[in-house]
Amino acid sequence: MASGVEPQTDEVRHSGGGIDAGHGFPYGVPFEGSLNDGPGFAGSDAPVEADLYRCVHCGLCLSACPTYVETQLETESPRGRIALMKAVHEGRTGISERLVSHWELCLQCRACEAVCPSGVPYGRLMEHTRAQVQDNNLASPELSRLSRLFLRAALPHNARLRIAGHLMRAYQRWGLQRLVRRAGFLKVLPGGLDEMERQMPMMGDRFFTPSGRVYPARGARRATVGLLSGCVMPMMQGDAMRATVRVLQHNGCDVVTPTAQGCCGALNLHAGDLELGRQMARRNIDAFHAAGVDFVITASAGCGSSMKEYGDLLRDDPDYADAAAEFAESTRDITEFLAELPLDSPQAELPWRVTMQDPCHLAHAQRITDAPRQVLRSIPGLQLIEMAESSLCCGSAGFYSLIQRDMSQRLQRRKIGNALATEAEVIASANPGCMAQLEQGLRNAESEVRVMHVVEILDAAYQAESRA
Amino acid sequence: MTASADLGRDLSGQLTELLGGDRVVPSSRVTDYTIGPFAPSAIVRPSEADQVSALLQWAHHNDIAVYPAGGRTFSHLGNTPTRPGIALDMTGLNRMVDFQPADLTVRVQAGMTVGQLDSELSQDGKCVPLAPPLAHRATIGGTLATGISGPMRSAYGLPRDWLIGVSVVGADGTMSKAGGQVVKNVTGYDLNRLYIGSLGTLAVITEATFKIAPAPMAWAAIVAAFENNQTAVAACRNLLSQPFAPQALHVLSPPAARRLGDSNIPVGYGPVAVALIAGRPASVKRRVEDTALVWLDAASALHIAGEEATQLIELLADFPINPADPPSVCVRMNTSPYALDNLLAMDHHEIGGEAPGVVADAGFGGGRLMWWGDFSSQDAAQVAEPLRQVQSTVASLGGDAIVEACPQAAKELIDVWGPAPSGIGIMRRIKEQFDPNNLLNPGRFIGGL
Amino acid sequence: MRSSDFLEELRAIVGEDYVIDHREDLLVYEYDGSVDRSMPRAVVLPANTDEVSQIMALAYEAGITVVGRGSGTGLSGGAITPPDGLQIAFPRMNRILEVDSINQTALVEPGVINLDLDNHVRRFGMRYAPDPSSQRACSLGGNIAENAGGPHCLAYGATTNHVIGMEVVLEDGEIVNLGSQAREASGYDLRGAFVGSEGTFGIATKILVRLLPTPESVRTFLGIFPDIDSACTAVSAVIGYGIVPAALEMIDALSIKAVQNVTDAGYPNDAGAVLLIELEGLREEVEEVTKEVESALWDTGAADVRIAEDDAERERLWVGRKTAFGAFGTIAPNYYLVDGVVPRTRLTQMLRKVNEVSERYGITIANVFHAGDGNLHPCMLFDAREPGIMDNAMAAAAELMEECAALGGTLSGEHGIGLEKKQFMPLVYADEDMAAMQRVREAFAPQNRLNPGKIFPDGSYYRPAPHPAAHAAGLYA
Repeated sequence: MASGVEPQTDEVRHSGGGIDAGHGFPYGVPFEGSLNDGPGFAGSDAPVEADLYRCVHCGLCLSACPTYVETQLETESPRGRIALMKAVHEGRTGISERLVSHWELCLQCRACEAVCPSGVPYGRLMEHTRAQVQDNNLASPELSRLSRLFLRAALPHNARLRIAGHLMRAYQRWGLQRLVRRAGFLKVLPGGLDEMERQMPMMGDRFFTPSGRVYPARGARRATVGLLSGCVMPMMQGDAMRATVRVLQHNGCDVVTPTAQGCCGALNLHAGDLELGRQMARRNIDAFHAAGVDFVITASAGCGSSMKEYGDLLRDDPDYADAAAEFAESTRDITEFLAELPLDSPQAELPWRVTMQDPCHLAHAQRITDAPRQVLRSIPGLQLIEMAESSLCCGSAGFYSLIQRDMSQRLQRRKIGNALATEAEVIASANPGCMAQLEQGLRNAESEVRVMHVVEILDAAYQAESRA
Repeated sequence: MTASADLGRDLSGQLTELLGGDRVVPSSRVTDYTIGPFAPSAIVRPSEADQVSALLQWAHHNDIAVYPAGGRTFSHLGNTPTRPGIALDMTGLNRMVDFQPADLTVRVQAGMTVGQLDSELSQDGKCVPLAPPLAHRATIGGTLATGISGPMRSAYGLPRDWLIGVSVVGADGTMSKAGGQVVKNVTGYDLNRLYIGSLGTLAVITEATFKIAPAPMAWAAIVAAFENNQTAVAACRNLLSQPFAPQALHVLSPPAARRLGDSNIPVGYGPVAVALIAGRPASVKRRVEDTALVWLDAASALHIAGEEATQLIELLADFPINPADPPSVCVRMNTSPYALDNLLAMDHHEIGGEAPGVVADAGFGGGRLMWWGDFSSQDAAQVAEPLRQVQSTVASLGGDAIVEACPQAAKELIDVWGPAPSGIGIMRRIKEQFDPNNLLNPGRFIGGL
Repeated sequence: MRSSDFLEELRAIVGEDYVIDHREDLLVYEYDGSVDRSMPRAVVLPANTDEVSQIMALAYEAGITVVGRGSGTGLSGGAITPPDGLQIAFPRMNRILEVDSINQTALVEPGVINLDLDNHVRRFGMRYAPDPSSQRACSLGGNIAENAGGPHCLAYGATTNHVIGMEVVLEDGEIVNLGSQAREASGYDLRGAFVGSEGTFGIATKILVRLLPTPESVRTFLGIFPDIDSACTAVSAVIGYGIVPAALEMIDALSIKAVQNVTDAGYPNDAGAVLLIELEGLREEVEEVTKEVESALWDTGAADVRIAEDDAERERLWVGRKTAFGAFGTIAPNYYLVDGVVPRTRLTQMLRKVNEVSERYGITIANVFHAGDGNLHPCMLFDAREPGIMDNAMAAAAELMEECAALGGTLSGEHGIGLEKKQFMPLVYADEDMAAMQRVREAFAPQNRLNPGKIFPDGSYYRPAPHPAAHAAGLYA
């Protein structure tokens, strides 16, 4: 073997030419058994083999992944995270803290899914993986505490949530720190309270509460729609919710806001709490079914993406499978719905310079990028300027910004930099988490630029029209 | 070593036995095969690759150096041979092996002339745009070995961009091939490119496969004289940044313009830029018109040549070895296009009081310096010194300068290939690997390889 | 040297954070885009040439093999690192150092992503022509190693036609410049030999590439054919007319269905095959050639010819082509791709063979490929968890490669040989041919420390790994 190319094992040395059976590790089997004694995947909610092996590790997801773009590490890439799932699945490693840290750095923005040529259902894989992590109590302490106190104790309960929201607003407005602390709410959050204060999403002045009443269509009725009020959005962006109702009315929709509805469960699902997520889904399916609506509308991209997956989530539930599929079918993002209608173009000019930030759960999970732009372009005088990397995650990603603060802020700075480079006056978005993240980033950058939901801009245009 | 060295054996008898009497060229023709002061001890002219292989096996066994030759148009290129040896005339291998117009590929023996290949392909409206000097004499093998390219290279590329496969005979007579018959191929290492420009020091090319292209349907040239180098360079840069930029663009200093010998060239003004245009009639027309418009104000004289442009291109191709008026000293400079004005300013490198003519390839980069004077009585050091200066100036521009022709005495004082490049260590090891006994064209290549 | 000492010294060179040696982390550095895998001893992420040189010198002293890895998108196993080997990855060396619009060149580091470079230089009215399908992810360093191609290589050539010079680090750490700033350089063409050497000659640390001006006019159209034979005839006709389009791609019926399953690319569902053709150049030229191509297509039996009216439609036609391989996921979860090349006039014959092999092995094969230069990509579609299917697919692939060779073609047009195809080399090269290649490798890397075990057959390895899923399911117990 003068060339120095040496076969590694006797077994393969004798294989010669021709195809024969035998292991396929080109350099021999590198190791047998598991790298550690961590638990494997188990149970019905484990990542599905067919999903895992859909990934042919081509690498086309790399450049779409915010954490890979920032770190340039394969461990922090979609392909890498799936490889780690596969390794667990194959018994080559157990779930370990190290693996969990790579999985938890994932924003679940699903940008990878949108560019994946093989159609790997990455979002689903990650939710199932996180469920396994939860089941084995291996989530990071930060995520565990958050999950225990907020995702489980608050989100599923409308009343508790509202109380927490009121407290938070009080805290932000009047500095009633003691009250807040007593609620136990802030304990879930890592780091010092001072830093926390800057991190915390600003609560809106007026909350939006589902009332059960019907907001009647203006003009001829084109559809009856149910509006998801959700969990934090009605508190953080009550104005956007009210704008959504007005815009729908303006476009001939009766708008129903069932009182029995609740949080969509997206955050629980992302964190891997599939069972609680399913309960929350069932409640919403029941609530909107009872309301007898043609479409379920949401102004939150994250909620819409989750609700469109209810069918998948409940496909093994004999009582809910069909209803869930139907619910998912009837779900529309507000911008998607308006573009489909199509919407009434406003008549008055709104001479704003606007740049669009694509929420991940709209652009990647729901593959909707054109609809919000159609809505914006329908407004006379509005100038839409595209920013670089408009669909790269802003770092909000639900509660990611609270747990992975460093990565979240890196992405936030990147996003704000791209947005400000357009010299727009308004950043348009379509998701409450993103809007809070952008607002905070703008505060840090001491910028005067405003953040508005796409429907708020449309609403402003309609209002300008009615004033004219 | 001014006469054939006696290798101490009955060479011609042995060679006759090996290849047959008709393959041994009479010693009376030895002057056709001299390389500077070197004269081969025998000359063979095989007709098949097998014979080339047999010859090299024989040479390997007997430790005799072999100097491959093609059309001998550029045999002065390189340093002086360091060992006695025999000349291997490849022109006997001159057949077209396979021509597949629908595949756009052609396979030919290495001794075929480029002119012959051109004429065969042109009957089918095709071409391999090599265009070496004196294409009717230059062989395919010689063109590849020297790596010499033509005036259209900025659009049509170098021989390395057209060669897709070669058959060679190695220094010990082993036949091997590289590449293949298809236009796209990443199977194994790319030895095609290694053989190109290796001056026959690694192996003797016996067969070559090229991808071919549709021949241009129309030709034109625009020739413009400018007041000085600065305006010429500016006009060229402007033109090259346009979508209708010509396929090739050369700038000639006034002495070079005079020497080129084309009646279309406006002489007596200043530097002359020649835009060469080829392609489909409609696009040629557009390029000509728009080029003329862009240049009209800046040029002191402007002339548009139609079909006669092909003669102009041939003159430019043949320029460095034009048999009617060959330069006595010629330096090829490889630089980036950015160095255009530096090249034009190099006419201060006088030899024996004569300033050189400059031809610079504005699109591709690089160019040539040429002197026509008779420097045979000149002190060799006074010829070598400016050549060394040229080499060091071009090196400082990030390129290199190859002395293609100069008096023998001066040649002894320099490495015509210029200072050894950074990769010389690898080059030496390659030579050792391919030709450990230093039998193929010994001493003639860069760094004495 | 003890392994721990070696790793300590590595850390001293690049810093604590840039040596990855935890086995759980290394799980993600054991694969590339191919079917092979092997876990390296460690991965090191240098920041500059000097660090690369120090790393190489250190590994050389310690007798450790080194494998370079770009983005790990290669399809022939070129970046798979032996278990005792050190992998060098280049994400930190991803700067575009210089764009020169007069020389029309760019100087880049090896970690720069192909598409990023192209996007960057477009603002100066230029482009980087080689466009492998993975261009969104693959790096220039990897492109150099594999001599990457792409659809537009038909007119502009592969990576090797676009590399002017390189700074490379040899196996012992020596830093050498290959080529120069000029497109020609004296001495042996080391840069030409280096491109496509699959990481066995050295590690490129700086790359000077040629850029082309963006064309004035682009015309993209779709030739729709009732069957694949007539589409092949059309390819020959176009080429035979003396037209070399910028790109000439074939998409067969099965692939059309797969594509239309996932996106509306505007390919008619009932077509037997479509040709995607792009012409570029001066306005007048494109006009004239368009007419000729159109008539060539009609003459050879096209059912329809559609010209993209605007950029959006043009984009849509290309999206179909570019998503094809992924869209195969709607037909079967796994695919295995052959990269053979045949002379263009043998396409019909070769595709018949593909069909025959498909039927005989009972494996669905789709065809989306670079028809203009005869570079096929027969794509076998299957579910790897099915017992014995990998054996079948590999045997079918072997037959297809044999046929390519028999028709005067070759094993790989753009993906490289790597581990995947090394045992097939004797189909196209004699021992003497490979010996000549090995001599060049001996000159660049006498100790064969760089990416050993690739390209040349050594009897050690013939076929890719049984699919891990099958492995896990106990099918290969």
